[in-house]
Amino acid sequence: MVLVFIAAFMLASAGVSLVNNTDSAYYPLLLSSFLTALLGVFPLIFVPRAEQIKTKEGYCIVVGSWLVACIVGMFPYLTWGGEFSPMNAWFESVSGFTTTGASILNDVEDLPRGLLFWRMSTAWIGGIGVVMFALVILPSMGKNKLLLSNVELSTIAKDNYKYRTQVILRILIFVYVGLTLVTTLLLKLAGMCWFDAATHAMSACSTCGFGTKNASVAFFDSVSVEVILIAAMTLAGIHFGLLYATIIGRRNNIFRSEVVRVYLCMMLVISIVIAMSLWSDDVYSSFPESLRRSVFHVVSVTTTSGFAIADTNTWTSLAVILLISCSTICACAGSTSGGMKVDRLLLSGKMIRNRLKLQQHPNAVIRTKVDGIVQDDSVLNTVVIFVVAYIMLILIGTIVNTMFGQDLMTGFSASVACTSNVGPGFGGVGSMNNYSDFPSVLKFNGALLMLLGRLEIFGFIQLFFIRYWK
Amino acid sequence: MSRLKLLTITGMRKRMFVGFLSIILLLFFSGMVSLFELGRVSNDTEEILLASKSNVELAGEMISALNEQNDAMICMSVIGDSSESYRDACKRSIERLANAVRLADGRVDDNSAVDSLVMRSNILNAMVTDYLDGNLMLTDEYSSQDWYVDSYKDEYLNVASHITSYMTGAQSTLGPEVNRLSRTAYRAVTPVFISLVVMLVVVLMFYYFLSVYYIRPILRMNKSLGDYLTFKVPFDVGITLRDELVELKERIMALVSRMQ
Repeated sequence: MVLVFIAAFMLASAGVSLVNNTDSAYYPLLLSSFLTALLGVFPLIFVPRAEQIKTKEGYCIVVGSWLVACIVGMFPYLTWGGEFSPMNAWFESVSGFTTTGASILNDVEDLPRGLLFWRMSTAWIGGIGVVMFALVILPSMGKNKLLLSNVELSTIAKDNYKYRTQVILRILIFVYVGLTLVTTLLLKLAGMCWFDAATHAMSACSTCGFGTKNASVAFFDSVSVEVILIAAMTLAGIHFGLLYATIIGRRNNIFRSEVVRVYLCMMLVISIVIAMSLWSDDVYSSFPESLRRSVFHVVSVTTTSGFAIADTNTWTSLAVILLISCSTICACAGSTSGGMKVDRLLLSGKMIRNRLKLQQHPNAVIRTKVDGIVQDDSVLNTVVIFVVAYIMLILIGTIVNTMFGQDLMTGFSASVACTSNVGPGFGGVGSMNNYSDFPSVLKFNGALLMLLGRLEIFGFIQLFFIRYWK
Repeated sequence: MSRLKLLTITGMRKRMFVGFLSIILLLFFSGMVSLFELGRVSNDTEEILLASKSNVELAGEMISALNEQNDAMICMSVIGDSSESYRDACKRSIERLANAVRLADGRVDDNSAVDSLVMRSNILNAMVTDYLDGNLMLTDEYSSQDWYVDSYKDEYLNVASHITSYMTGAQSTLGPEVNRLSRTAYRAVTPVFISLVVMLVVVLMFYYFLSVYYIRPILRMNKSLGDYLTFKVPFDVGITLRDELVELKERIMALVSRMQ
């Protein structure tokens, strides 16, 4: 059913193409839509409906859905041609579905509107998670969904806010669609055309960062557009359950959440520090000008969006390292952002503090709490293991990138940007550059890192353990 | 859920029909897209070839007119033969060159090579007209031969080189058209390739499903029935798909129990 939904979005993109004087993407999108729908519907002819699925099958469905979505997502790009070689199409498709926003396109404006809309659609579908669609549609509700969400949502997100899985689905769709519509309307009021407003809203709410212009958001040079996007990205980086709770007036809302406080404070402090650094180094003439750019880029990078209004390669070393730190930590669990998540940073910080306390008071019983909830040892262990695995993955990615001729800054920042699903990095893959100069093997490596990052590493790796399936 | 049930197809005949229909539709649709794109390729190619042919013809006409004029001018100014036929040839060539240049100018919107060609050909035609009308100040020191060598020949070579520039310039303006053609050709080929890959997947799926849900149960039923008839082993076959096969199994079981 995931494929049928993707086919529906392809058809919608073909509709956009049709409205725009049947541009050159119309037939590629129409054909891709048909092929995808056929691939999705064909098994339904024979395969009987499963009443109950096992955990292993759940993993297979989730990871398989991502992979299959990325493969069929290539069809419109491949059929249209232009800059899309098979590897470029794969990279762009994975980048969209994992909401990374990294691109191989040198000239985005050369794409017809239908294809641009499809590009944004991949990000939007990816934002809410390919599996979410599958879960809404899959007829066998009940226990199946819980099994699947174990892979999709991080453990922390579920443990902090114990909603029934069916409610999680409703929350995701309600908040996600609502946020996208409101952002579209506001961007339109800020002066964008309907097409740009809708596509940028889709991109911002999915924290993807794909744009319709070569200069990204810098093209519009509008403070109001930037403020709206900052707000949309910030909200999209918060746990959707918390947003829902805030809207319906529940007690556990964003104003009481420790994680959200850390998330917002972190962005605020880093933005001010970067602004001061840029101002003192005369990168920008005034402090407000520096603050405008630093706030936008910090929010863009922390929420793993990747929109740009400046060339960050010209920024100071302090600004660069802080932005890389933001790329690594990222936003809250339970949002559409990728990366390590603020929740894990908070837990790691508390674990370090507790460890120091234990050294002073060896017999003390110290528990780690987040928002007043005591965290199980298993959760804490998972956090530590994830952080270690995450750092190792970045290192491996960097080694591969440098092995194939990239300089250290480009290789490292590309590895961080792909693993955290941010998109732009620094050096050769800076905010005003792209991944087009990467050789095919590095594009493949980047796409793999994006998938690993999106599926929180272990979900993806587990699929390839043959013993696991025996 | 009820909407999903609508998508569930039951019945062996329906399943086979839908399976084959999917493959046929896949082939038909990709074929139609390719056909459409090939049609565009054909139109684009025709446009490019016609434009190219017309450019070459125009350039040929200009060169031919220029040569006719040059031959006549050599006879008149260098050899000194002022017969009427050469004068007519000159007049005719002026007209032919002017017409061809006018046509070229009207065909190309923005081409500096055509603009300079228009200017140079006008100058040459004016020079020849002046010569024919006797407006040139020719003396013993500055004869018609000197005029030919000093003025006409340079201008003639100038116009000839501009015609060459026009020809190459006009061909290079076809560049975007050629790019469009190559894109359209790519779009005509890729759908077929992708469709073939998808069809391969669909056919493999079809084979797998037929094998798992139809062939294997029939073979099992056959074996089980054989075992029952030979060794009186109870007839028992598990079938997952709910269609005529289940009915067949139930009927065999009913028959077996009736025989017992």
